[in-house]
Amino acid sequence: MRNIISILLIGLIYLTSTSCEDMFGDYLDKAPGIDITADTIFSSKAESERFLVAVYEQALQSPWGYDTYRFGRGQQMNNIYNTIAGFVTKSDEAEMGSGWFISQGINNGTTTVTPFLDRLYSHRYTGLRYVHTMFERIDDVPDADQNYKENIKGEMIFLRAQIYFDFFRRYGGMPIVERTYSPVELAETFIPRSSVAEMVDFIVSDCNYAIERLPDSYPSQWKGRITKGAALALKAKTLLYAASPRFNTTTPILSMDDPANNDMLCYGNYDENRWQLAADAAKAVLDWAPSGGVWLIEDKGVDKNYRYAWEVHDNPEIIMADKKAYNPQSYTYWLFKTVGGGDGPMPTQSFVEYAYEKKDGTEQVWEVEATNLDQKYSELDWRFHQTIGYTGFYWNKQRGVLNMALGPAPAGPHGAANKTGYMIKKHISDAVNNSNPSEPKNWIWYRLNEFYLSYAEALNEAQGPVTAAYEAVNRIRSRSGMPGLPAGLTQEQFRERVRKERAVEMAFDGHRWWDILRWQIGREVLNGPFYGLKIYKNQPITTPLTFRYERYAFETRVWQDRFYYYPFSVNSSSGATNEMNKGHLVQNPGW
Amino acid sequence: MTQIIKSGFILLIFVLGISLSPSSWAQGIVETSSLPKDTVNLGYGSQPAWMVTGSVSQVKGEELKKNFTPDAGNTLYGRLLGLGVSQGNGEPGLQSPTLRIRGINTFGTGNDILVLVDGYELPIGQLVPEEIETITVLKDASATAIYGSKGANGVLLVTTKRGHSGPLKVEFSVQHGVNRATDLPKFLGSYDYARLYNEGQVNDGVLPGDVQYSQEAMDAYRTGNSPYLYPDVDWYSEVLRKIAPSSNYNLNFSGGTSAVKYFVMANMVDIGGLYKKTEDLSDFSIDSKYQRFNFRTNVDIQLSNRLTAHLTLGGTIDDKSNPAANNTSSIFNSLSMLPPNSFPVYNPNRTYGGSTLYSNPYGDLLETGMYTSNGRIFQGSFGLTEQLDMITKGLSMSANISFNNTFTSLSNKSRKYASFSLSPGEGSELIYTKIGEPTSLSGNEGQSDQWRSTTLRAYLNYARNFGVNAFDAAVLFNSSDQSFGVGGLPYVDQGVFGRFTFANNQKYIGEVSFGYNATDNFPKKSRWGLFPAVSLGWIASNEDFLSGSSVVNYLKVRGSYGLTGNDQIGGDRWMFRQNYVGQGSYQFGTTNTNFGTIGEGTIASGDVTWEKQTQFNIGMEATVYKNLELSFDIFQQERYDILATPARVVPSFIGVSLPELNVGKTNNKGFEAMVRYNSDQESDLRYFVQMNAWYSINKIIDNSEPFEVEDYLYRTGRPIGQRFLLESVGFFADQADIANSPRQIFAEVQPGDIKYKDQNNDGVIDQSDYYPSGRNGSFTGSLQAGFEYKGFDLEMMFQGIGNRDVYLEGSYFYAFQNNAKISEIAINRWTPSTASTADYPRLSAGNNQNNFLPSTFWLRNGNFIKLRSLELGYTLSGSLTERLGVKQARVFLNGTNLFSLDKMDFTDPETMSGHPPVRTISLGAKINL
Repeated sequence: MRNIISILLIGLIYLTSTSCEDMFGDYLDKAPGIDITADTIFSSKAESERFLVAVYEQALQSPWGYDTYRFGRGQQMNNIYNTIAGFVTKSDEAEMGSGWFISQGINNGTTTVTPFLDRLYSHRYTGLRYVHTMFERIDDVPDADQNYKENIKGEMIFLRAQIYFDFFRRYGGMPIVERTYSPVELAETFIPRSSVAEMVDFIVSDCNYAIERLPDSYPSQWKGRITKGAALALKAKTLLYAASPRFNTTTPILSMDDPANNDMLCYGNYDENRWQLAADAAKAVLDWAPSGGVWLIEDKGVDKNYRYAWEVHDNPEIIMADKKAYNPQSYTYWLFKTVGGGDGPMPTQSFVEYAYEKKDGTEQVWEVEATNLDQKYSELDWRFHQTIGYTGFYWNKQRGVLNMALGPAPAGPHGAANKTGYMIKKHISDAVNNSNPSEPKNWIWYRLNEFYLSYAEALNEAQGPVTAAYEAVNRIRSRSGMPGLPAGLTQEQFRERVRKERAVEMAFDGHRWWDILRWQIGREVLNGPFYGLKIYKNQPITTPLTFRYERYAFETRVWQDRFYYYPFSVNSSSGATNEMNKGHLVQNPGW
Repeated sequence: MTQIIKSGFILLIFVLGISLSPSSWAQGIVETSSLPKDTVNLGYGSQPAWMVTGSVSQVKGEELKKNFTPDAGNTLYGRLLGLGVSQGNGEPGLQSPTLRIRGINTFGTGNDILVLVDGYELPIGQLVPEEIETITVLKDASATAIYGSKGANGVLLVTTKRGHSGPLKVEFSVQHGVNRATDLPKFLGSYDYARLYNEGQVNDGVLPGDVQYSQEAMDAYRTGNSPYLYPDVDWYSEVLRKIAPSSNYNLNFSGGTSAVKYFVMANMVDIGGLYKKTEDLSDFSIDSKYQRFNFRTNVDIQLSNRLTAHLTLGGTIDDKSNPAANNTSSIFNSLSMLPPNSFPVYNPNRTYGGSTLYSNPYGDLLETGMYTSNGRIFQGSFGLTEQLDMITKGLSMSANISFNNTFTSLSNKSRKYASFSLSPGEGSELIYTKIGEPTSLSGNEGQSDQWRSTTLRAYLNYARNFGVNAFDAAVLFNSSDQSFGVGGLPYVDQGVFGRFTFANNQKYIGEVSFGYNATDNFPKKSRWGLFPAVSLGWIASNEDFLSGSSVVNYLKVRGSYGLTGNDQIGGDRWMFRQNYVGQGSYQFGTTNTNFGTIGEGTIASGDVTWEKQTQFNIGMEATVYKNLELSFDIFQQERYDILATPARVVPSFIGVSLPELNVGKTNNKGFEAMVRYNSDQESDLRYFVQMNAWYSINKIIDNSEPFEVEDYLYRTGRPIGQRFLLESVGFFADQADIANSPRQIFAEVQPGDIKYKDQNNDGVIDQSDYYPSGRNGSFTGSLQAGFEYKGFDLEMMFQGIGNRDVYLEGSYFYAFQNNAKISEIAINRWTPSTASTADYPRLSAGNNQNNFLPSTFWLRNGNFIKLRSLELGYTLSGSLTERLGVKQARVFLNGTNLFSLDKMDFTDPETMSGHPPVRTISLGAKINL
């Protein structure tokens, strides 16, 4: 009996003196599984590189300013046709065939907040979180050396700056999120919109941080990672935008409801020195280029240099390309199945007239109608022939010669109606055809040609049309066989010429819309009638075919000044969240 | 699992026990005659009813026999105050109702109550009343706190029968009956179908000359003279039989000596499905049936004068079969859609009729394959109890290990077959067009699912009286794991629970109880939670001023307050861990080499925790004028820490899918009342009448929903599950009415279409005009009465739900939608001439995009009162039976689900699609030896 009691007492003491946890060891702990957690992912360099790849995938959002297209990330990857369309049809470069495209509501001035929304708004914050997560955890990776870590940090901070630049050029000053937050923290932390000055300083400072840490180039298997050149390019672009009329001004074009908030839209003063900073930064890109193995393509011939630079993967003119393989399948569908591209993006005659000079540097004359369309085309800038698909243009072996002529049916495979008479050739290499509709395509973020023109533009604003400015523009013109700009231009004349040069050189590359915004010339170039051509075969039929045209206004565009600053979403529909009512944001004017 | 078993055996060896027997501890108190003598099971022990300070209701297994149904859940309608029972469908073996205690308390996923059979988690449905001693509902915090994080939704305790000392008792019963569908929808025949279809077509813009059915066809439908080309088939009567058999056989033995007490039972359920018998007609069919065998052996063995062993073994084996690959819902769906004039069951050449649009439901029954399943449930526990009076009087300890598991295996084979559509040829010739090609059987021969639970438990009980003071305490340690399916990591729980009750002079009672438990689903720092409760009781009738009162025989007032938890929080397991998941790919290098990526998953919720609920309950119970029993409870429950996405407060700067955080709040309040009158037990006519009523209304306090454009679109402030509907304001009278009304964006409307109210007065009827509408059924009542007179007995149970709306949807109600048929509800449809009296919108033969939108037009009063059971019996006893060696014999006639009083003309108010509920009429006999 006494023994039993002793045993029981010992048992009781055992049970009560040790906690349940101890008694059962790790009974309540999760057994090891195959799942990956925050701790395993940063436990080695090899693991963390899988996350690094994810950072690139998430943070490098489309360079094409995907903001006006309907779909979110994912779809855009496969759809160059819509990517181009969503972008260039907002500017004067092209018109969209499909009426439901959001750009059509922008063209006619009727769009409201929800359609106008920036579809990548929350994706950019996703990218930022990836960037910050990598930045904050890279030091935990045990088997990576310090140089490697500094390199990664440079890449991350560059990507952050790039994301903020994409915010900046849409909204002006934005809330600056500098680290990862927990939801609880963020619910309790008020992060207001920054001023434009703070926004620019933040981006530039991030670029400087990245410039210090990034290499000039990578081994070929890592081509596509961020280089010092990319950071220099972003810095130059940011400073150019900051110096431009939209921001570098005393008052914004439309005032905020509370004018005290106008610093979110512009600097609040004009400072000529901002142009000098922009010029210096663009010059730094040009100066850096040789060390990064980057140069202007000038050795392929005046009729091929330009095309080589957008068509060939990893060509030396590229400073930074998104190596995500985009797939132009839908574009070829449009190109080869729905004949004539009536639903797709169509370059406008207005843009052709504005941008393309004749090869001799004089303006082409476009009568209301004429019978010598073939001749007029043939006289245009070499770059026209490397950019736009027009009637008489040889597309490729399968597609043959384009023919956008109207006429009695059957008009032949290329003969269906097209509102403007043009198609976009740029970005669609000859390798793409019906049986090979999916050539992967790297989107180019930064190409060296841009910085010649940026340098010229900024220098002209800071110092007038000095020799260096002329040299920079003429370098671009001459490699495509165009004569140099006439000497003795005034600052204003030079400004107009360099702006036009940007429109030509970087047509359909995703710059024009932003340039229109930063120069604040929407009312000048996106307002009023827009022209296309009605094209007919000359009668009697000639051999080879020749064409006549009638110039006609296919639409009248209506510009709204509120388009200069994008709106924030105000309701919870269409997958967007109601950002305005969360209190961090001040809505942009006019929305 | 081995760890838990090993630990279990260590504990068993270290047993310090106290008897589970409730009678032991209260001895020595002279019981006042007016106190209730019942014992109430409280989980991990029981108390005499007078001592209970929590809110509990209890029913005896005996009463549950009054409902003749194979699912024990369906015996509970109206019987337990505060337990809501919502009817499921009527398919044998699949008819478990939804059980809720005091309504629902969370908009999260977990409203299921905790069901414990003999203290361990196990489904209740497959038990039979004959093996149930009591079912107890624990409602307030005082009663449920010991269940810690599992108690907040309320607890249902099922206690199975055990043996008592005494001679062997043998009971044998047999019950045979028939099932019949309570309500089948009322569809119109071919003539009306064709006539109204034409009308719908004309309304949709078809020229009167171009309608589907010619005058000749209409005549053929009306006269029925061409049944193959112009059939008029009532598919319900082709596929279903009017009645299906249902039987139950039970045999049980109980008894005991001072050393061994036992209860042994075997039960057999045998039910035929409502489908016609087809097994003998085809090689590819099987009769629909459900059979179940229940067995139980509960044994208690006195091993020494201190040590008792308890063995509880129960289980079921069930076999279910169904034709047509077990697609019950699709069969009933096609019955409710297939127009009567589509095709005949059989063509003249005995092939199956068919069309490309619809398959032939009777052909499906015969030709599309068979489903069989076999399920097993095993309940086993082994325990030891040791009296420790030698340490201190009244102390005991027990240890238990329990193994509960379920297993189902099934075979499902299906095939396709050919049918033929008919069209008229030359003269009287018919052209047959083949649809589908026959295939051989294919599918799944063996598939299985299982659930396992292993629990280890150790109790320390102390119960002793010190003069007029009584003290009762129970402390318990619990550790369990559960596994679902074939693989997967088990769910692990551990905890310590305690309950301490003190009673003074049988007047003043105080109790403190707590649950302190942990789960593996939360991080180490927060996986333990404490759930305490306090309660007080005062037996006023034992005070001097009331004792001896002829009016108030018994009066107890009690109140409780406490905290309970709900661990069915929804979301992923291990939400506290930041997972990284494959995202996509990206390319690097001049060769565009593809790299896989790993990215951040939904952000970890580091502080994830249980839903918690504070519960406040005040109640009273009384007996007045000797025969009248009353009880009343009011409660208020505040649920918080409900998981919700903080969509409202967190800006998208966060850059990652928001986690669910414990931010949601709801409340729920209500009352429960009971009145019972018992006649004097001595007279020839003995009877009782009992009325139960309860009411609960809940409200969402915070669900962190995103901002909405109109205030009335918020769910916050409304009951959980609130419907949002367009408000119907009648039918459009004419074009002028349409022109003068707000534009309805959903479709072009025409006269006779439903007109909706513009809630926000913006001139457009759109998504923003959905308005909270409809009631959730917050009131439940029941009326039970029983009579006994000279061997005859009669008992009935009415149950009803009030403050309830139902929403009409689907082919029973939506005429011609999705090529379906038309039911009687549409007869009084809108036409220009009936515009003033119409109660159904104008007909459309195509899919109408306006009239069948969610609107108040389809909201109907769903209140009902159902006669859930009625039993008339006659008991033979005395010299007649004794001569036969029979102690007692009873014959009885039983009706279950006999009728429903409601405002629903076309269907059962609870089951409005799929397999109909069944009404059962049966005859039975029971013999006691």
